Amino acid sequence: METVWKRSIVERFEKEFSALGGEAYVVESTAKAREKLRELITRDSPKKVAISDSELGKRLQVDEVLNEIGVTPVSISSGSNLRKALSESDVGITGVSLALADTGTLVIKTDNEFDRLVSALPYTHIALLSNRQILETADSAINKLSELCMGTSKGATGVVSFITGTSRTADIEQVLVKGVHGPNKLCAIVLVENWEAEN
Amino acid sequence: MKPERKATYKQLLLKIEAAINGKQKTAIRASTNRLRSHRVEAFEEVPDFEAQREELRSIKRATIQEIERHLQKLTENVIMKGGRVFRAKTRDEAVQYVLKLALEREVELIVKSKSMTTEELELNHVLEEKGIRVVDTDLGERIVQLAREKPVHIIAPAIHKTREEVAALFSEASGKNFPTDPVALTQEVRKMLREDFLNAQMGITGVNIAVAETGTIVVVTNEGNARLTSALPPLHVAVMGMEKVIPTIGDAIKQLKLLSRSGTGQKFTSYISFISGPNKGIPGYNNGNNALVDREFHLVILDNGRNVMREKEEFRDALNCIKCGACLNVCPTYSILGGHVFGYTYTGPIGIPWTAFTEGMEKAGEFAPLCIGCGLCEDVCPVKIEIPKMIIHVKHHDAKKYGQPKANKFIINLEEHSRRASQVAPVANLLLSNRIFRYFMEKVTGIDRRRPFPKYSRKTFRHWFKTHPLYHSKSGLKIAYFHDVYANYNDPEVGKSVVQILEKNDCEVVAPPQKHSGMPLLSYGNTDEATEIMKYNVSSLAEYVRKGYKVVSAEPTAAFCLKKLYPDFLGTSDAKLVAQNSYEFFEFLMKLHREGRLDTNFKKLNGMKVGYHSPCHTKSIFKEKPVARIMELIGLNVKEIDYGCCGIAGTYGYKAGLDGFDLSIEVGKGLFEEVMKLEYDAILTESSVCRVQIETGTPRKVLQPIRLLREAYSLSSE
Repeated sequence: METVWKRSIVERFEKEFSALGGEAYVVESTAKAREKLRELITRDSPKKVAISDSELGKRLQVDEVLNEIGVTPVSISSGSNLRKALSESDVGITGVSLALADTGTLVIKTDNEFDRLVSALPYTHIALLSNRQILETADSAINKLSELCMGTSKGATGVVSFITGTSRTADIEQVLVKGVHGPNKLCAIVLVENWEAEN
Repeated sequence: MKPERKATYKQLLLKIEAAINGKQKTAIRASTNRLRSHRVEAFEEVPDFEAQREELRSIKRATIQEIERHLQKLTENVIMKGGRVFRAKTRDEAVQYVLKLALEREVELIVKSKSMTTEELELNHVLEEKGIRVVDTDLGERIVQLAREKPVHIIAPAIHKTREEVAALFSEASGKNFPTDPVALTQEVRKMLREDFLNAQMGITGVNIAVAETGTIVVVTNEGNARLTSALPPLHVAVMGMEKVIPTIGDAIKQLKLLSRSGTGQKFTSYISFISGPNKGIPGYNNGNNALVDREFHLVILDNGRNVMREKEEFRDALNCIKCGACLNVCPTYSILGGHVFGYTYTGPIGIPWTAFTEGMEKAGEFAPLCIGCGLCEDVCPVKIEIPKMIIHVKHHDAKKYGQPKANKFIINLEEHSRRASQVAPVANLLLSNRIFRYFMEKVTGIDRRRPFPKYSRKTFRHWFKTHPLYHSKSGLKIAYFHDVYANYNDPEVGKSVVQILEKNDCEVVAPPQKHSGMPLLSYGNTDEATEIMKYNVSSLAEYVRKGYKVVSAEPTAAFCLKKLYPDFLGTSDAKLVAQNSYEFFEFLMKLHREGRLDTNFKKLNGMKVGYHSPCHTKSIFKEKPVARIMELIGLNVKEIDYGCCGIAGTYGYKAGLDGFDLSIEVGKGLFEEVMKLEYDAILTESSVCRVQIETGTPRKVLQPIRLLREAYSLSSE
């Protein structure tokens, strides 16, 4: 029996994500997802785009999208001087491990620093996720989170990052400023698979 | 007072003066106000806040109880994942460990993200002495680092600096011209610090939570600097106080849910990193085989007085603190004075017990007098720490060791002075309003000559009540009235009104033997005598409670004592019994109203537009505003004035000078401005002391709602 996914959870995620200044795009086909991705990347006219490999990223063939636009992809297998390449990347594209609807949070597990830095160094972060990855609340995600932190083997290491909105501060005269030591633009492309039929 | 304390007391007064006259107070007040209201908004959508607090408190208490076991598990798991763990007993051990590591790895540049614990260690200073450059990357922390100051607030370290001051600091440090617009300024800082992040050999972070079951440290920021600090340099040192450990990821989520909302009003801060062990593959660092190097990770677990804190029953729960800063934002004196006056590393209300154990009881005693006992800190604390009780203990230690200023000594005997003044009321009232007498009185007693005293009454409430016939309730409602000092010696009409109104609502009212609430003694740390008074009152009232009486007090401070301070302090089952059966007067009337038992045959006082000021002690015992609701029932148009504390803080505002009268007027300024607005026909408050303060700070007359209610019931003074 296949699980169907509730529309209301995606809507909640969209609402919370946008309330924090993020841009959420809900699409219903991989073709539309690619189109949106292309649109979001070209908007910034980036010279370099860093990619953290993900299942959804492979399905959408992110590499190809970048080649079509004519932008240099920076990935973990790019070769020498990754540090420099990452720090010169204007956009970072990642997948997610899960997302939390009630707070609009992206949860990304990475087991190496390159992948973590893709969502931390560039000005723009584009996250690719499927509606199946969205859970309702942090409470409902506790078991999954424990698994992610524990890792798959005894000595397993890694970092689970909760990202809720863009980098921000109000340290100077309480004026809200975005994009301090992290992205000042956060986008989520949500690919919907199997809506619940609503009466 | 002993000379050492006299000297630091003088310094404190100078700091208060500088803060009151300085420019920073507006910024500090604005930011604490903002954070406070964000917190309120954030919890409005959390209906089970109370349940969450209670749960987190239990988790924390249970963890601290078995802290060694959890720390062992944490250590094992971190080591299993390839990290190193160092248990530092003292500040010095921790500092030396980090220094040695930095020197061994030939570290030239360190980036740091915000950590109160590293402030506690004063780590930067030691590293810089050895020629290592240390850059604090949190924007606020970087600003105070450049200014060579300590943070002024846990969450907003540099809130006292203007944009021009900030731009100047960065311009000087970089040799470039930094813009003053915060957005542009921050962009330049981003570029500047990006260089440091990329080039640093070591990153130091704090730890918000350390999860034992998975060997995970959790670091929380909004800026993203902790991510970069922990992701870019090849060496990461995380410094944690031992109390940060918590058993499971589920527990950590519960804490995170309360942390962000309490501190800044956000559901979650922008970045929460769960770091389990040394992460792999650091870009830019290759080993001999041309593969990326893995991180070297060290966790430093600090004691520095925490174990001692844990062994002291009255202070142990301070270890439950999740460092959210909510208590700072709600504290009336902190929000004027800021962290430079109100603390050292740990500032604000929770800073008092924390300083007592991380820096020493004497240091805590230096700024403990800034606590005015309003109780709002405990009310907002996400783990329900009994902060007022702990502060009283610190004051007690200090008074025992160093003595007290003379004003405190005089006020501690307030009840006795009031009794004597009442006995010679006409003369006392004349003298207390005579300038020359008040001048000498200030010299002798330390009571400020500018403070108006409420009139004393020759005939006390108890005199009247002795000859008042007992009313027998038809429905069996029985009330034990706890009247306290004001209703007895100053304004017996208030006491009479309480009795008449309760009898109108079919309650039998008795006035059990009582001593005063004891608040002045608690305010100044005289816990031995205060304990005697509390025990007496509890024992007297408990007897009545067991016979089916409910306890009612109409003075907010008395209600606060019975419902919160007494059970917190004494911890006895009788104290809890009395607390559970005690009501503030209007709270009790609302209870009757909800049960359909309130006599609502009022002569309505229609059309009057009143501003209602809710006293701090009322706010610390419940959320609702029963006074406002009852006043609406009798036909008044009520607007709730929410401008925080009036400043008088019971007896504090009577003391002469800077830490008394002057500070109280400064605290009350926001409220005074609001009160003066023409839209109000009258101002109401149920607290006798708030009334004195508002009448001192403004030309307005303040009405006692109990009198208005009596009028509405057409009851008269006998």
